[in-house]
Amino acid sequence: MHVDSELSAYLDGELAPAERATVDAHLATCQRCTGRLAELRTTASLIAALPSPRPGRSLVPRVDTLRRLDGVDERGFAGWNWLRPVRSLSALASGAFLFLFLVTAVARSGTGLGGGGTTATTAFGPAGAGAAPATSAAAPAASAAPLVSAAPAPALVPAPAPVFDAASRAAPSPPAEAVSRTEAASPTAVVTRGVAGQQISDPLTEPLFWLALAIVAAATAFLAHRRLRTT
Amino acid sequence: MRGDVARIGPIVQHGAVDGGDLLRRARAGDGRAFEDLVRPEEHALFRHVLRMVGTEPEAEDIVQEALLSAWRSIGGLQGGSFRAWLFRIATNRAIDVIRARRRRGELPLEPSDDEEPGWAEPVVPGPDLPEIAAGAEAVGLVEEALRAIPAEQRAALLLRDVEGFPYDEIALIAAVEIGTVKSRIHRARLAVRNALVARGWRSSSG
Repeated sequence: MHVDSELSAYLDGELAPAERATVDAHLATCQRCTGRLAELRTTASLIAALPSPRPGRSLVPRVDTLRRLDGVDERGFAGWNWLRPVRSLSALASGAFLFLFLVTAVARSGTGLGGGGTTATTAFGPAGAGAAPATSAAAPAASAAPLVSAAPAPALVPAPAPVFDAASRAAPSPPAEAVSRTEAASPTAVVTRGVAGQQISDPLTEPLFWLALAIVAAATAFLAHRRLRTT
Repeated sequence: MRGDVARIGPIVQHGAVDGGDLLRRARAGDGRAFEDLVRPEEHALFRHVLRMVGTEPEAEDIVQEALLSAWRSIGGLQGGSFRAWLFRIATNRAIDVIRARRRRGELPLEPSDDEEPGWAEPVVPGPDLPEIAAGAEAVGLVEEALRAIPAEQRAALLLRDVEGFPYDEIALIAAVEIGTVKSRIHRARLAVRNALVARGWRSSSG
């Protein structure tokens, strides 16, 4: 049997010893196959001798200034890059801060704490008589009581109620009373001290505080995203 | 696109390049080490892709993109021949470009390689082999013959005869079994030989 199909592998030295021996034995007796082997050998050397042009420019990418893609390649090599979690967390935080901004803003506007007390009066109904003076003027600790009793009334404005409840429960106390007596002038000041029931204005109920945090978090997420995209 | 990032398994290393340390640093993210590691292969990659796709500008772009892709995925490279891994990325890209060309009708469809090709016989007496081999005519004939064979066969033949890869590494580069590599190389070489014979070449023993 001729060994035509084995000649290339034989030429390339890729036959197993037993197969190689078989071809050797055949070549010893077959002129045709010996000739064909020579032709294949010459063909291979012609191919090897083809001109080998060089590229006209450098093809090696300048990677010393590039980072690998986030340390994660297309096949999921698990490098770690801290920008990704920063981006995700900042985006989530921004959403949460925005929500809190909306909640506190509605709370403020719903009870008219930022301005006149009329809204509060109507919202609070019968207890409004007691509540109104509490919100618009300096009030004794008794203001805590109307606030508490007013809590069930404003079912129409549920959002402010928890704020009032928490504040009044937090400190319906002499400090609030004393502070609110002395700081009669500014309704806003009364609000921050009476409602919060704390010594110093509470930023947690200030809508602009949450809005500022939301903006900062959003900016952080955006910058992290830009940085990730450019690498 | 075929996965051009190789998970080349452990195979025989061919020629321990001094890049043992370079490879380690490149995998750790050292861009300069990567550049030093691939620069020696730039010329070979270019000539291989050029013979695959045919035009220099296209070959340059393909090699550059292949090296960029290699940089991005080098972190995932497991053991084995780094050179074979580079050629795998480049060859895959070249074949994808060829296939896209074919789909757009810019290239004729490749001949079906189902049948076992035969050995062409010389029809007319022609110059002896040494005369052809010494002339530029042989280069043109061989190049033309290479362009005419299927891309996968051409790749295997070039990797063997020009780049010197053994069959087992070519199998990893092409992601096929060794038997397929053997068959492709034989058919490709036979096709080039037949093209030479058709132009009148006859072996001295014929």
